[in-house]
Amino acid sequence: MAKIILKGHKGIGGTAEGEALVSKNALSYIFDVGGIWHDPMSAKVTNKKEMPDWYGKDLAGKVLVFPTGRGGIFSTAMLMGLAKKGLGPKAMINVKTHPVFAYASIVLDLPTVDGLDKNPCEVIETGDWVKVDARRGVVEVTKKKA
Amino acid sequence: MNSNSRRGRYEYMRLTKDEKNMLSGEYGEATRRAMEILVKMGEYSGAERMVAVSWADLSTFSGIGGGHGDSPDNDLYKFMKEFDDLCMQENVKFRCPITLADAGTPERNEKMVRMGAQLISPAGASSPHDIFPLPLFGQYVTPGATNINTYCNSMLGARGNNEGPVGVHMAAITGRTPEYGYLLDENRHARTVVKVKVQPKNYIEWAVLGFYISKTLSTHYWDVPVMTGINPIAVSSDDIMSFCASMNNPGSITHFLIEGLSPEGRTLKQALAGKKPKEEFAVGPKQMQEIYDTWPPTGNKPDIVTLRFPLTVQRLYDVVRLVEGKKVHPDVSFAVDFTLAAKMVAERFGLRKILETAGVFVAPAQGNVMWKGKIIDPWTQARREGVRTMVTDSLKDCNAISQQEIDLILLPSLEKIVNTALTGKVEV
Repeated sequence: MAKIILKGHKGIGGTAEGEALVSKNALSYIFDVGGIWHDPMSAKVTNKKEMPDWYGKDLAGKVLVFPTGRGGIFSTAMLMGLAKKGLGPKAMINVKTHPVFAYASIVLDLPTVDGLDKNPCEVIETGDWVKVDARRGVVEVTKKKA
Repeated sequence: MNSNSRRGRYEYMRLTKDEKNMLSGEYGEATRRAMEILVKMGEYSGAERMVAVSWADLSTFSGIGGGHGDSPDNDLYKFMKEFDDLCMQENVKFRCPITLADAGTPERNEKMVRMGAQLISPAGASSPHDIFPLPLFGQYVTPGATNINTYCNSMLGARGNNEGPVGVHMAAITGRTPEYGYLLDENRHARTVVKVKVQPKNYIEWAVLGFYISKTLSTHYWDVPVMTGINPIAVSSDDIMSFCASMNNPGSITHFLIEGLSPEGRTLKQALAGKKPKEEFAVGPKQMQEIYDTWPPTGNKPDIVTLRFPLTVQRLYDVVRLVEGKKVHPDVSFAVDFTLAAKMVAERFGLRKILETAGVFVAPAQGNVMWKGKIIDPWTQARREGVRTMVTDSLKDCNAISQQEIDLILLPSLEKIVNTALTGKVEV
């Protein structure tokens, strides 16, 4: 299986691995993750206009790869709320992490990295298996297509 | 950048003796934890050092199950409560001037005041007019609300990152914030030129302009935009407040410059620091219409009509002028939101009575509306309370509430929105 290594600086949290979910768009947990309002609650993306590539996808348990965060302070509370209910992501990989997301990651000890030597949104594809070692700032990508 | 830096970033922060003492627990566990979080953020963002904060605003946390105010069933609230309780045990006092929007639980307000916070208007969370103390040029600040942070950066020349509730709270406890992002000279210059080909006529048009720019730059909001083509004489501070709000929605533009208006953008050359822009684009009538078309009239009758922004004395007089001697349609709930200052003017000069006689609901706290006899916050409760259609002047409302699968309709002027409330029909 083809493997790609991305290197950056020390991130937040420890290590995690899982299936990648990649978006070219910036993410807001309040503007995009309407599953929060459903019963039972989910981390499902409902914003077709702003997040067409993640529309209908469930963000729970995935390694989220997206350029950055967007839209206000609310994502901290939303991300924390979902994570405490077991619906948070396994890790986050950004071009540049939005501070509102970074502080949530610090409190949750959620593996998070940015500033990698290649654009993760171009190198990683949805379905790739990704190992994140935030302590070393290293991401190992196993491509789903050999 | 320095010897411990690779690729122009610092991997370990250089802390002062006092900051090291905070981190080692000399001032107690709460202060240690706060400094630890800030150091982690500083290291992650490549900051060299901490800087002293001149003002922090402990705005609302906003979370699941709650409204714009603090909610006890919100996990962020629970985290903060545990933190606050520890601060109480250790008699921690805030280390910089603190304001707190009075939208939280009485229990939390009391704790924050004991730690040194000054309570301000509920609407103060979103209204720079209510900022106290007013930050000055070059000062480091950590406002709670995104639009105030952007206003401070872009119109006052104070310096703040969009830290969010955790970063702001830790800054309040330590009096410090990591020096990264918009606190640094090199990140305050414009990299994107936005040629504005329309002169927005009112605060809603300013919001629409901001929304388009914010959307265009959403994946690289750090490339600071400078707007050209704006006639500085025709702009009001209400317009700019509205613009700041939508610059943080749908994207996250924390700092912008307007040629001839911003203190760091008196000229285009100054805004760009003499460099060539990375990107240029234009905004004209066609681009503005694209935004209106995102939340068009659906043919449904409005359940709720709301005026959310800006919440100023000027807006108060505008609404009074339009509703005096008239009645809100009986099938419509019409809510308006004002700053404490505007509410005081309304009381003092009999304007509140005019509004209430006309059937206008003056919201007691930010974002509240009256719906079927009870006060709700549509941002979190519209769907579960059965609201189907809402008319608003707020693009933040549009973006946030439409995720609950509610019909949101954005109208282009205050007059059209008020007429919709009076007639019960969406005025196109």
